[in-house]
Amino acid sequence: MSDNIEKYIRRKVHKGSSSKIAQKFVDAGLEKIRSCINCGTCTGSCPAGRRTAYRTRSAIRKALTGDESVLQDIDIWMCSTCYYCYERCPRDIPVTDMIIKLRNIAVEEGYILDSHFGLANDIFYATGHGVPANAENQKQWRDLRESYGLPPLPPTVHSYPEAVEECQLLMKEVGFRDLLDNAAKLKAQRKAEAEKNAKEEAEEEKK
Amino acid sequence: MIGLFLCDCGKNISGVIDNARLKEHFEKYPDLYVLGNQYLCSETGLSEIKEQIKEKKIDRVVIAACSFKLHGQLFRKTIEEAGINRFLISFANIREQNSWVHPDEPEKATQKAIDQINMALEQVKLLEPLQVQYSTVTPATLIIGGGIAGIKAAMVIADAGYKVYLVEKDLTIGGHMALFDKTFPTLDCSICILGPLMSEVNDHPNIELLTYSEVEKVEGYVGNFDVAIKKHPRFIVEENCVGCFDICRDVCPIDVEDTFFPRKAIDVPYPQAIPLFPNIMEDYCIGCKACQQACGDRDAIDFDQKTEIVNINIGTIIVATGFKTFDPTLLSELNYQRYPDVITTMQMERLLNSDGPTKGKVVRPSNGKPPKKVSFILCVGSRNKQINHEYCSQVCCNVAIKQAVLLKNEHPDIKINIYYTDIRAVGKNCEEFYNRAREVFGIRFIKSNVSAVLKSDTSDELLVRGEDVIEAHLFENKTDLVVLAVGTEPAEGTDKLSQILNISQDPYGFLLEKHLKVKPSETSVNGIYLAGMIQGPKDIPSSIAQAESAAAKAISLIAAGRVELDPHIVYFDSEKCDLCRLCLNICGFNAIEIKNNQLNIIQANCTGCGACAAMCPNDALFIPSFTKPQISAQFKSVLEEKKESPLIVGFLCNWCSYLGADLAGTSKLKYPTNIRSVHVMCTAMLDPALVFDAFFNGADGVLIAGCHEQDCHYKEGFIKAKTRYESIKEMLAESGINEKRVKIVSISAGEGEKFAQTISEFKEELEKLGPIKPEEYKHEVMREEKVKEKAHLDEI
Repeated sequence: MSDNIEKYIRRKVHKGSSSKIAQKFVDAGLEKIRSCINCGTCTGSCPAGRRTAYRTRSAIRKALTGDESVLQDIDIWMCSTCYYCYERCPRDIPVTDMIIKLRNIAVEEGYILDSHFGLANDIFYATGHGVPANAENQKQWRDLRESYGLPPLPPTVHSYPEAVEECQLLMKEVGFRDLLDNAAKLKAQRKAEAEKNAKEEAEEEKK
Repeated sequence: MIGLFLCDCGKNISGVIDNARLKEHFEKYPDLYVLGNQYLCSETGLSEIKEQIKEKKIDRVVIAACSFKLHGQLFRKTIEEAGINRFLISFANIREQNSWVHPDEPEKATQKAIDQINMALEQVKLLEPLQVQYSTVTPATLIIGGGIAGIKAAMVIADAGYKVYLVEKDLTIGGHMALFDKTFPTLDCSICILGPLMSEVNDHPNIELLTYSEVEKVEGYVGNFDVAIKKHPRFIVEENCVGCFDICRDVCPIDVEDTFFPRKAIDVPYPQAIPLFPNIMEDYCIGCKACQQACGDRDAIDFDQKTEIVNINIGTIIVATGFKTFDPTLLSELNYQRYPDVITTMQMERLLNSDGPTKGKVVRPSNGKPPKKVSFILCVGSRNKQINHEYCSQVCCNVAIKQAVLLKNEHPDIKINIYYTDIRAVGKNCEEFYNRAREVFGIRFIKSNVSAVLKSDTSDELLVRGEDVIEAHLFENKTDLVVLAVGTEPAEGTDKLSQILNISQDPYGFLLEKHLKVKPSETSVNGIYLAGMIQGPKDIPSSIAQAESAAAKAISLIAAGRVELDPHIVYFDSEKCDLCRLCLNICGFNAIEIKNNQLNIIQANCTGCGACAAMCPNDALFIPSFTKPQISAQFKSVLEEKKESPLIVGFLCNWCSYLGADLAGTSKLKYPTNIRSVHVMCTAMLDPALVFDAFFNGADGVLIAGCHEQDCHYKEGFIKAKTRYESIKEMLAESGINEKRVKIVSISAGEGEKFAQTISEFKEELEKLGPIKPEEYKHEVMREEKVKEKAHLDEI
């Protein structure tokens, strides 16, 4: 048997029964994923799936069988967590929680979208706010607050800039900073590798 | 003189245990005669036992051999033939629970065997001769439910020559089957095969039909049940009515409007109804009495009829109350009842039926036109954990396939989609039927659990939305008629009936059989049997098979004329009783009552679980062979001189854990030798004082092993034991004993592996704790009274 076939079988057959991702679900107390009977209720009920290519059942199925490509799949970020799938699942599987867990795993493995990384790193970590209001271009919000007789900035870190550091300390303590750094590192590595591969391929083509 | 008979079982026992040493050891005992044999259960072995009993004047016997579950009855019979009461015997299980599980440790196994035999010897010394009691059986059977199961059971018993009372809640017998159009997979006309049976029941001299009636009260016990039956008024004098029904019906001005069951205020449910009497619907009748005039001289209509109570005495009961279909309004996304064109398979059955409201023409309820596209949705209310219907209803796949085929047969142009999760075409010829539906009839099967049924914005069609899981794409298919293949649930009123009959229900409400595999039509109540859907979803052939098996069980009881009552039931010492009534509350079998300010035991109701005896503060109640001294003598004999450490005293329930331990043996699983097991009928008979008794005598750990809660032979026995365990834990804390020394587990008869594992784990835990020391408990001897007092407080 050629190496490739062996690898294929190992990936398709052996991983199927002991998926790393599935194990992470089990460790997180979400072992119900194993009782999925592939009925398609979740996908059919999904309002996000009707607009995008996101297929709930396929994502869960890939996670269960250890197909790690699901982690880099942009579709898993399309779920709006409306909980329809959870409510209708005949096996009572907390599908939405699974998707959230899947996203957690994806970020741990460095599959974070640029926009999410930007929000987390450049805005949330930098300002202590998910939706800041103190930047130059957010003047209309400050004006709006004032028109209601409120101070232009809310009594949060915006009003106490020294508290930003405390927020950052908190985020470091709970491991949020490390998570971001790790994700950025993995992502950069992957990018470099991809570039290298592309270069090699291009060179080979030249030859 | 006690006779100890040691079996080699070929090499099965003597290959591990040194039987010669056992013989040598026990021959030193006074008043004990020891005999070894290669195969005690063989013809020669048995005759030798008999000979020695007579020769050596033996009056009590200990058998050290295989599990008593295997040959116990044989040995009891043997000693009875030799003139000893068959209850003066005790067994040391040195095969399944010794040699087979300790093959690598012959030394320890031999020591364990000595302990086991000592336990049996101590027990046998205290045993009392018992007499088997008998009770007579009234040769009549009550069958509750007149569907196909009830009808078939009634026919079998009546044909055997015994009286049957067939009670039916509805106006007619026939049940659901009478409403079906055709049956799968043969496509027989349902009423054509059922109708003749219904008339036969009606005409049978041994069957008394009580329709429009309900069982109100059941008292008594196996062989002697007193039953009160409530008969609702039909407002028809049955003796006068000849069943012409069109004379009264045609003059009735009131139409009771119903899409699927339209009728007049006075009418029969359907023309094949048995008995063929009309009834007047009180809620609709305006009292014009036109029917009374039309009936004329026959004078068969009586507007003053009242509810009647009929009392009967019977010996056995068969429950065949059947099912009701799942109400799909619970699943709001299917929009049943919101859109008239969403119907259930039961309603489809009425549309297909030539006696139905449309005379067999299938139309859309919204506009009365025939549909061009029909969609069947399977698993509606089945296999769904969200609504506590985890079970498969077994028939819906086949029903949907059948209806699709019938539709295609009549109208080949109709397009039919069947949306399924898994097709379970189980049953003889059903898979072939399913194949035909695909191959010959071209019905489309789409693997998808439909997510929603919606209304089209642009037409009067419905939309079926879901994911085709094979193609992994979403669809929104147009259709004219949606048929929901609804699952089955226990019949209306099952909760009440289960209370009247004192039979447990499974988590879904179906009545619980005594054993799922080997006693499927018996119940925990002696003399009451189950038939058909009420025990769990099943198709018509299986219902009939079970009905006839239930009938056979009833007949065998009646034909015997008497029932043997197990003497291991509760006995009562009136002098010790101070009427505290604790036993009254804990008994789940109505075996204890208070009459004339005195406790009265209804022995026929007692199952011998011993929960009451363990409760009794004065030891006024006891189960012979399982009294406290008889149990404690067993482990005390081992603890006198502890030969192993840690030493576990195990209390194994008769029905599950003892068999689980035996299974570990027959599976040749290995576990440590550190356990000495005491056989009890139920973990509920375990008085907490016994647990402490074991500790005070030096046990390092106590294992309480019973059934899984839902399988308990005594319904709630293990739950009671668990409640008691809570108070044991508290008392352990009080007396300073580490609570880890007591372990309570559920081990079923099929969990040999779990048993072996439990012993291994428990041994390791106890090794960490070290041997029990007298200093470990603060009060060296806790007064027994106090122990019990605490237990009572907790249980009250």
